[in-house]
Amino acid sequence: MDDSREPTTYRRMGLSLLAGALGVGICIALASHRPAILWRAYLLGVVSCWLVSMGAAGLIAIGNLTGGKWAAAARPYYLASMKTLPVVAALLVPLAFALAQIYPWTQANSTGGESFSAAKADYLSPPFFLARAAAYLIVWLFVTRWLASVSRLELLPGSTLEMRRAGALSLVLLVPTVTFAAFDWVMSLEPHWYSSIFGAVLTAGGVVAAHALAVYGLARTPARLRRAIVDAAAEEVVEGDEKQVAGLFGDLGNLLLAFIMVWTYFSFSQFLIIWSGNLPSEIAWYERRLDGGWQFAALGVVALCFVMPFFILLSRDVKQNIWPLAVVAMIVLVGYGLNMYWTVVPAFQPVNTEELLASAGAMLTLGGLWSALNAWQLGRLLRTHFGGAIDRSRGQERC
Amino acid sequence: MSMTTENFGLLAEFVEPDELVEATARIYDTGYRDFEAYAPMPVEGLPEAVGFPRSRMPLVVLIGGVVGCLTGFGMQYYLTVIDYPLNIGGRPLNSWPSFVPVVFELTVLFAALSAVLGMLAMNGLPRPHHPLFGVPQFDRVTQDRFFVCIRRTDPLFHEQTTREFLQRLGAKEVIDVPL
Repeated sequence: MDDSREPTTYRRMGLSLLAGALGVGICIALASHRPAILWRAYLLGVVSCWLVSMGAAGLIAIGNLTGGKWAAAARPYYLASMKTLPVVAALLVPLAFALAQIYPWTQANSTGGESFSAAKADYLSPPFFLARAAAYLIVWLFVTRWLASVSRLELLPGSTLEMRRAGALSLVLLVPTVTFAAFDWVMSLEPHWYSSIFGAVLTAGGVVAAHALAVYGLARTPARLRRAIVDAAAEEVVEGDEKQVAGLFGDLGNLLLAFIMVWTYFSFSQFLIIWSGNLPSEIAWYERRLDGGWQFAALGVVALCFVMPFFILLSRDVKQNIWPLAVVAMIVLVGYGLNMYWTVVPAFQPVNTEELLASAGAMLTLGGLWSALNAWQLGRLLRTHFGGAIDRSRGQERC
Repeated sequence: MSMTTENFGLLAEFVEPDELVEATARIYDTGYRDFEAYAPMPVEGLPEAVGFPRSRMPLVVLIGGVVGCLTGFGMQYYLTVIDYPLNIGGRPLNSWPSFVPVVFELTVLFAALSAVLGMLAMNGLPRPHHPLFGVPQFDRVTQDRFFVCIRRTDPLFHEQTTREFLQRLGAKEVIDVPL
């Protein structure tokens, strides 16, 4: 084993890359002769990773604004997720060359294509679409660089004026850009359907996933190193006081519970309003997702993203203990993936088996790649800022 | 004082919170159980020293929440399915998605109310009078003094030995609490 690496992240990088390679294999075997399927699957994979990076950026901005022990302790993990954005941005670029393969509106108002109002056709024209995408990326690359440069890891629970300023302005820039990017990239897959809360639904999912990943990461960090992080985040360090760790995990667990409830609230609001209205142009979106077997995926999403984590996280014993909380975080992460799959794949009607499997394969590939990158970033951050504690923990614990 | 045979208990006064925590722990370890500590602010370690059992409040709140949830659903189900069935846009009578907001609100309401009422009941409140209010020194419990009171009903309680025990714990003063 390469001794310059922190063992947990090293192992995760390996596993992630393995999953990614498996996904590549699945995609090539299934759909190499069907580029349209591959491109759509690729879109699903990239967008799923992109939302987690953006969720992490939002969490850093919120943490910089509010301060607090939770923000200080989770910051290295959020940063590791956010710092994947340049790669995510690079992965988004190829999609610009495949718009016609992915989005039905590229054939809008042409003979045999879909018909839209003039305003919608203008909004969803490829040049404007690409210009918007470029603008979003420039904003995000600027925001994430700024947040990364002001967020100091060795900091106590407070936050500097610089951090608060960057946090506030970043949120102002992130919320509209991410919302519109969600409209452009995902909602426009079914261009006749619209929901103004759709961007918030996707964003909340990304925030939940980024936070769950931070909780999972902190739980899997070797105990001595975790101790160093918790101590750095505490107002005063009490030697051998395990209550501090329990209290911090309680806070992180409560936050996970709160984010899950917000996400559920957004998702259910959208469903309830459309279900109540029952208008053909709106309800069709849910009909595609609650019929033909998709209802089981929907039930799975409800179970993994709400019912299970909600009831498990009600217990204080779970929240204050590290491994049950890691299990809940893992459940939520799987639920996030399933939710993305359930949200995006039914848009590609009719959905055949190749499409189903290639989409799962692409999520595995890009998720694996993203996760490896995230683990690498995390290892780098922890080595730089908590290197002493890593040296002491090496050889004592291998997770 | 002639009242000593019929007092409520003995009250010991401390100046520092650490003294209170230490004294309380010693009292518990000696075997006293019917005693209570009083402080002007939350003192770290005091609940553990008094030997507080694990709070049953979470269970009370959970039961309140479940009752609220069932009430919310039952009420709407009874109205729309049994009492006054009405065809609204061809939807099934038991249209549960539209019940969810009310079910959620009543769950929160009942859970919150049971938290407030449960807290009052478990603390024995409201309670207009308490024998400790008859002790003039006890007024400073809301300012800068820390107290522990061992009640006469404790089986280990003995007028003389308990008084001496409290004095040995470093109490500034040990006071008779009249009934």
